[in-house]
Amino acid sequence: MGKVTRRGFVKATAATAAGAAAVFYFGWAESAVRLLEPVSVENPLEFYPERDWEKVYRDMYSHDSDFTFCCVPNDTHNCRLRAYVKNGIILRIEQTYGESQSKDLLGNTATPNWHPRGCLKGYSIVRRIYNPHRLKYPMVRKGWLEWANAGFPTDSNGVVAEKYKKRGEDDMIRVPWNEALELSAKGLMHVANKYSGDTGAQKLKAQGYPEEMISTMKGAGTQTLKFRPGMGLLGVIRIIGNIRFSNMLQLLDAKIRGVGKGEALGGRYWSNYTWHGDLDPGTPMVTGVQTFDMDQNDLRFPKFLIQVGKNLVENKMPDAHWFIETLERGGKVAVVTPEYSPTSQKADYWMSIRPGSDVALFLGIANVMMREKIYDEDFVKRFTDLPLLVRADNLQLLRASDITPDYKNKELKNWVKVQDFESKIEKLNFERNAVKTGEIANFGAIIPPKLREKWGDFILWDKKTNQPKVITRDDVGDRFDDLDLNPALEGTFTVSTVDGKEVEVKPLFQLYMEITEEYDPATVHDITDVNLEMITRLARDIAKNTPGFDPEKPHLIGGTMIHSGEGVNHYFHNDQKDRVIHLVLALTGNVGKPGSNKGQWAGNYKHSVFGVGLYPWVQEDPWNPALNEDIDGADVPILPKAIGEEVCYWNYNDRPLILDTPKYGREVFTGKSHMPTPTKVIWYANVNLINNAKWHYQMVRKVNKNIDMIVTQNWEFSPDCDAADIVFPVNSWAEFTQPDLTASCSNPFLQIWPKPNTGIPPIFDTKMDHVVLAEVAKKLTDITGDERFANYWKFVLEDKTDVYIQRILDGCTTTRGYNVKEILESDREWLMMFRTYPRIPGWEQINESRPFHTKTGRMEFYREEKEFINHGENFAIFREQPEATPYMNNVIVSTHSWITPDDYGVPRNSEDLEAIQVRNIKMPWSEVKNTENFLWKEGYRFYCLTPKTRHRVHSSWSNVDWNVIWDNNFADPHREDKRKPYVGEHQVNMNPSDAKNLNINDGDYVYIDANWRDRPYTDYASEKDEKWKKASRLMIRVKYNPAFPSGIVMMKHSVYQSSPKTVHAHETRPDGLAMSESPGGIWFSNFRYGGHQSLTRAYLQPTQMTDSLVRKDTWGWGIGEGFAIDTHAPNTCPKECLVKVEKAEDGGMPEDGETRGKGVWSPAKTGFTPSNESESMKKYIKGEYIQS
Amino acid sequence: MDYPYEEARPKRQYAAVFNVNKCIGCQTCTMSCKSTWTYSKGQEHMWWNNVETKPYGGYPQFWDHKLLEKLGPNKWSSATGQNGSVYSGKTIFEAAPIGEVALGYLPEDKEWQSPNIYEDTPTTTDPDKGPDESVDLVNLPAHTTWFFYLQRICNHCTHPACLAACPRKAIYKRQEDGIVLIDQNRCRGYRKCIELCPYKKPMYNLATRISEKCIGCYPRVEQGIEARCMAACVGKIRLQGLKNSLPEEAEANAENPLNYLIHIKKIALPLYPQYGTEPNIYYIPPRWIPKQFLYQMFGPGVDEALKVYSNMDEELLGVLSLFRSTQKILEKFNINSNQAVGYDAKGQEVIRVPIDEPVIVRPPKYHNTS
Repeated sequence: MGKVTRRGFVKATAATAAGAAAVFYFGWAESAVRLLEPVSVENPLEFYPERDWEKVYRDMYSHDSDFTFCCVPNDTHNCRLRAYVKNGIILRIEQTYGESQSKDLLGNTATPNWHPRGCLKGYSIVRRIYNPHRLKYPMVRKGWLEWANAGFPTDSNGVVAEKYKKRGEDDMIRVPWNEALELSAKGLMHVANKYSGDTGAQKLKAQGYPEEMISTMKGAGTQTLKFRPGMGLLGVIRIIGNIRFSNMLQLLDAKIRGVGKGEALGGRYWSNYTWHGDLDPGTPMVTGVQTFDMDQNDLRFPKFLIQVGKNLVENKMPDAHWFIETLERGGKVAVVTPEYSPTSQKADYWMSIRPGSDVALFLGIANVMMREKIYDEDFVKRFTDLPLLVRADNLQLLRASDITPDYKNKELKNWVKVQDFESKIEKLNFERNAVKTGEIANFGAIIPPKLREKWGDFILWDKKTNQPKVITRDDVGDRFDDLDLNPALEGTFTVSTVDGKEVEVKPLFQLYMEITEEYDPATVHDITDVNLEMITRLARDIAKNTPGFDPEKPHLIGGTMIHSGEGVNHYFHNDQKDRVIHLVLALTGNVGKPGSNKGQWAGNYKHSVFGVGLYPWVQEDPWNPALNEDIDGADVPILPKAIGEEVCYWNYNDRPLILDTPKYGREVFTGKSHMPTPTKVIWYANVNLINNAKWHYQMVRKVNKNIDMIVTQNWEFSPDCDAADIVFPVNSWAEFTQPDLTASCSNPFLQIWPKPNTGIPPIFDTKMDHVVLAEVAKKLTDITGDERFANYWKFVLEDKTDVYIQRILDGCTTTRGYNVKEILESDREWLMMFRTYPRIPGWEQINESRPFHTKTGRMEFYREEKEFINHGENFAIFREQPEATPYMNNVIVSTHSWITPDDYGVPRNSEDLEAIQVRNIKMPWSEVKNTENFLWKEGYRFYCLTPKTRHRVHSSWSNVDWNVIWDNNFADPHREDKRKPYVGEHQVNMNPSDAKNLNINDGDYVYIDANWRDRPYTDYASEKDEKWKKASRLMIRVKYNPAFPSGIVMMKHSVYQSSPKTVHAHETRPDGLAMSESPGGIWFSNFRYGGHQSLTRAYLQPTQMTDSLVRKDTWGWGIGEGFAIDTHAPNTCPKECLVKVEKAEDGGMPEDGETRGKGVWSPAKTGFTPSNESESMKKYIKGEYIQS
Repeated sequence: MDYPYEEARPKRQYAAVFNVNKCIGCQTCTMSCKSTWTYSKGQEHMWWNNVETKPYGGYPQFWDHKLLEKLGPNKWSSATGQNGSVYSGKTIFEAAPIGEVALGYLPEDKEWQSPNIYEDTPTTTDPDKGPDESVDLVNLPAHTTWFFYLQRICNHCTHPACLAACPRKAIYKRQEDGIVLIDQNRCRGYRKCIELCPYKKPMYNLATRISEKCIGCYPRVEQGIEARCMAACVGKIRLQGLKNSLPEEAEANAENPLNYLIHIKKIALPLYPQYGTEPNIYYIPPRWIPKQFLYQMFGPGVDEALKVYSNMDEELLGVLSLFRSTQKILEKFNINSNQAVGYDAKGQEVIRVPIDEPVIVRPPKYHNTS
């Protein structure tokens, strides 16, 4: 039309308007009337006459009131959010921008650099709170209810008939609160009673449980009752209340067995962090403490930051800005991941790596550092065990007593109490009192004299005198300097031992030099696929960037920081990766300073930030609870009889690792301190334990059949409700009727909320989690007549839960002095009082010359304990993974003679993954590369990555439509394609050329299978029940994604897995929704068939089950050996699987009347999609639509 | 340029700077908007704010490529790719087909599905190579395998194509803040705005059968508070305010952080300036993306913007530190002694941000390990 004049434009549009008016006349009569009004807008850029309508949006935006609450899913952020309320309904959410108001007792405050906190999930949480999937009232599974009503009948071995155990198939039935509470109390009593004493033990034996598990119960049936606070720190009252409940059950044991106080045992409580595969299991092996996580504002300091299998961009959303801001301050970022990840795009450089081979890369980096002598010799000598001498003959650290007749160990004085206590309680009371008096300033560890004697003192080779010299655990940092020694790091020496032998010894540093010789960059490149030149560059960049002020980068006072994440943590040898990353950081002095260290943060695991302060709440003495509300929390009597247990064993067919080995016969690889008991009740809160379990279908189809009662507390109808027997509905985070507290492993904020008389009342017939427990306790009082059950929850039942919170604050170094009422009234977060803001791990050790919580007082890179030696892991060494490898499963890549693994006689051609876990064989890389994994031979050739998504927190938000819409390529709120299980569906990312080779188009459905011998569950191949067969085999849509190298598939983890009910609905409902429906509610599977846990199984890593590892207790300052909950225990490893992919169905829409798809998914036909680009799209990607 | 109305710049212009380098693609902005304005029936497919992964992502699907293709290759007159170049190609107004105000297209229904299509999906610089060329390394200055997040809201353009397109003149630009609105009383749902907006930000409501678009959160802006999507930005990439519309005036008022970033430092650039609407959302371009793609998307100022971004002075670092320190609209800033201070329209201090985080050490009874 050429140049448009204003006049011409108006005319043309008038004609169009008239044409369209007729259409609307029939559709909307009112509009037609308005159309007749004359148009009188001259220039809408300049003036618009009728602006009154604008109040529509102002009204929409207006609200009546607001309140704050804490969004506490299982991430690490705990964002305080503000809810805006209109007519009693939460309209919308906003961040508070209040972090900079938070302060401590000393007058310190956080900065506005923390603003704002809260991510997309916080904003869509309104959609969860008012979701139709909310649990509205208590429910009991139909079959279980029949069993209970029949009086809990069993056969003579205590086994419950099959007809009562149809979990996942039965309907969930509404029952009144009173009845549900009573049923759960009776269920507990039935099970505890049934399995107590000799008759109980006989029954368990008849059921096939190994003797070790049964004897661990010490006759107490209550020990088969397992409680799991789902990431307890997220709700210290309402979730960790679960452990309190477990401790209370010593009263029940006393009643059942007639035993007294002291002998009676409570229930068991399950770990969180380790089982999720979250813990850095190697960090306690190196530092003695659970983790080395720093507050995330410490990420503002490093000059160089490396992400290893970590995706901070997607997984630390409120705090990702901290590290990205270093880039604007002159910092550098490198990323080591198989795929080009969201974090990789921010990086200065990204290196692709073969999944599970990261340990080899870091051994290569250590090799470069040692060879090029670019390490920090001073740091190595002052703070690590690398100068200590190791004996060739027995592979033990050389002790002073080995070479000095009648040597007497020196007295330890540095930040330590070597003290005996009559009991654990006495020791805990001593610690609690030290917090109260402030004496805790003087020590950071309590060591039993027996252990101290066992450790002895250590020897290094002094170059000044050319003599072996003694150093003690005290001699670190400045104290080491005071000794005026110059230890040899290299060389071989001979010492005469007191028993008259000449023994060859070497400094550990020398040994690592030898070991890493086999990890030269060329070999490492061959093992890992990492770009050859970059291996050396990475090593040099780490060595170059060390803590301290640099005038060129005045804003960056840190050095190198390395974060490892789930990407590397979900492999069997996850501890080796920690040991070797700590090694390269220690070699370069990147420890204990701002902007240094190895971080990790997975899940908000760190209830240890409250330390011994938790005891008065968690393990208060139920025989004599403190009923005086004014008592100092540090003085509340405690009697810890709830016993911690690693949940991995339940996941491992409810068994420890006991194998019939060819070489030694029956061997128990699970340490005594770790030994689980049989699981007969599971009671958990705040987690979809079963949906999220590795080997999910094995759990629901096999393992849980042996469990008599499963109780879940939840605020949504989730797959776990279908998999349980009793469902208690609880208040959402915005409906708190009583306060709770939380803190974090990644930020300094203490949160206690809500402010009294704010918030919305519960929408449905729900209760707070801990109130449910208190009311079950009251039922136990009603049934037994023992008042103490109810008294144990006195202040909960009286609606004064703040009393318990105050007791926790009183007992904890980081919060003592705070007043709960003041905090609640303030309506904002406060600061946890750690030694430093930001919290920097190792700060006291490095800056104040304090010993680490290890036996040598140093960062330890050698493990002399027999378990480590037997499994060939006395050094940090690379092993191929037991399943996820193309090469021989679990092989140790080394020829070093000081690595002396035992293969337990398991043959090299074994196809038994149980046995392969303990088959320790060492081999040079040149040999390993010619071996082949038996699964690889069978065609299982894809590594399967299952990372976290930004759109959900694990399974939370899995049924929030908005989040599902953003989580995949196949979203459609109108569900035009009825094959979608919901408004979107789960997807697997795949390298396009891999897909094309398998004739798989972008958007097609595929089947994915793992090792047929045990997945989806053992005996799947012979399964007769079609509905389970269908429900458990994974079918999923493919998304082409060139971010993934060939040989890797990726699906985000923990959406809702399918069940027989969702499959049935999907196949029979006209709308195709994969819905599980009960009279009590609904949920949707995110898959048509199966789930990503169809592919996973449980593993138990032997060196994570020792009775000998020295580590600090999870809570408090005591140092001990062996199991410590969430600190030293097996970490399951869900990425430990290889899979096969085959096409299942076309991605294109089904034709009319058909149910199966036909042709290609429509976007993939446009020419605009990856690996299907038209010429025009190629031009666009190259930027050729503009010429400059 | 051919535009059906005479130029009438607003007194103050709603504007924002998006620092693409910091975006984490979290969609918090998206949910903040959705939960405020588009949660009703008929709006199920509607996302006024979205973040898409470039180059394959887009909402509606492939929106930008489709229009670039229609417009055909164009040129900036200077070969240097520097600021000051003159666009010598056609804008959408000049390229308008006969009988139309501008060049555009109406997306099909299905193109509004899957708003996050191809999230986190990279391409290679040379797509001819195909996916078999597996890449094991990227390394600055430019990643050879790449993607980035593009944040998109209505640009509240100075020459809005939607406004020009509306047959009923039901779309107008507010003189007080430059926010562009669709009158919800007058609109009859002809969808010409959807067809001609090059950014595809007006959307059709299936229940009311009229069109809607981002309203710049004017109920907040009128109170001196930034829009919801801006305030919610947890990646701290967004700063929104009111800038001067005329470049000369903006340059004269350098205390305003948006004027400073856009007109003084020239660190932030408009999205597809070649379309000719003068969009008012400005982007600090991503540092790792091949330049030619950035010229196509952000025009000739890319080199200079990135030069300024990667050699940051203390003042600029201070202004970037103010991003998301407060929800209040900042009219003025001041940087000194490691602090960035922001002021509101009345000249009151609103926020004071330390540019470096402090390290605080407490007495020894407060342990780091408990």
